[in-house]
Amino acid sequence: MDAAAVDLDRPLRLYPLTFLEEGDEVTVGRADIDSYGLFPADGAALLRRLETGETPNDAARWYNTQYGETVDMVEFLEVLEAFELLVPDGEEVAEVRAVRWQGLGKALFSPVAWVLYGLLFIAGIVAMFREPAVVPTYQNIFFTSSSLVALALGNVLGQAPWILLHESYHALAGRRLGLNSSLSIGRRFYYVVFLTKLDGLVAVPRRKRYLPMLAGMLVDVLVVTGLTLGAVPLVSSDGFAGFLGRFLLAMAFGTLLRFAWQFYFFLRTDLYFLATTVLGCNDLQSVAKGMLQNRLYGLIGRRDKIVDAETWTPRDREVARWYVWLMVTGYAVLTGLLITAVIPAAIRITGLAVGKLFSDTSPLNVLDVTVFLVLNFGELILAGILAVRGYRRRTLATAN
Amino acid sequence: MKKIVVRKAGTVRLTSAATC
Repeated sequence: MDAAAVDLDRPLRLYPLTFLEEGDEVTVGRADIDSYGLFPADGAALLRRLETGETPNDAARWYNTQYGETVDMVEFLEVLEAFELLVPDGEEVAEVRAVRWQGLGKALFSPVAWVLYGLLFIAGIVAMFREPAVVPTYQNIFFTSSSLVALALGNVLGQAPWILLHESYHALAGRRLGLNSSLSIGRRFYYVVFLTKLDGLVAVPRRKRYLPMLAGMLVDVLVVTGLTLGAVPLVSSDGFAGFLGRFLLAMAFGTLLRFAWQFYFFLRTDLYFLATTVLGCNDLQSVAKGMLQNRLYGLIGRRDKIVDAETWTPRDREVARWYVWLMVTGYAVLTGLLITAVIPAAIRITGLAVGKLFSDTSPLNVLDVTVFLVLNFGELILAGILAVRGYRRRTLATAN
Repeated sequence: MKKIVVRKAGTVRLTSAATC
């Protein structure tokens, strides 16, 4: 559909839209494809006129009467088209389907569930006070001394079910509100992450966004206390029972580390989204990066590269002025950690593995060393691959 | 002519570190 060629004396067809009024702006969009825009109040009012079946010309006349100005209707229709809000000619609007698992989402955050979560948490804390052997400590990671591969395998694969549970809780807290979600793998600096896409949250009132954002960390706490409770009767045993108890504690400590990782808010973790929601921001990280790039381009005289600050919301601009320094400091600290800890550790681990390889070249030992190296460096290498792919995609998009 | 400026809404990606 070409907005310029639209007959302005015929009503338009629009997809089912959601409207959320917040202060001076209205978030309008389509829940089925998660396409949302922040409209000024007059723009949202004009859109509502079109939605009721008024022709664009009639709506423009109404706008003129209401606001005393002539609206650029063709340009407004181009905006609606860019957000895919207009139904193209010859296309039917599919019925909006209810999301799956909404019932489970409601059950997991029902009053009964909250009571059970509270009891589990209290029982876990009491167990830690009564049984010092199950208190989380970094030594719990070393649950076996039989094989380095078994140790690395246990710590990497042992997190998989709890990561999926973390992401499922985000998704189900979203489903409870009737929102679509999807799971993918992405990267945050040199960390590989699992991501739950919940763009529909921008269309629900802010106070309802907190639970879906915090649901993952909530379940992390429950996993730590649950695994700790499970380890209590096992940890002082011999044989397999003792091994199982130690493995449960290793998984609990790994979960605790992932919980702590959420405090790296500048990597756009769950706590970043929580903070930006509280602060009333829209896309703080992008604005902070844009602000930093503008400053750098200004310094090197590339004024043609500077992004117009008017494209950012006033609140984002206001917060980004101080957030940008937190973000830069955060990245600097993580870079320092990479140079002083991760890379030296990687070199040392590789040295040990290569030494072991040359001391015994039997197929079993080669396999042992290979698996060990993959487990240790797989994540860093995958993060590197994702970074290169992302850079290429951005370069290609800019070139086009 | 009054132009109506519409900004793109931010995205929400809730994360968990993959593992170390």
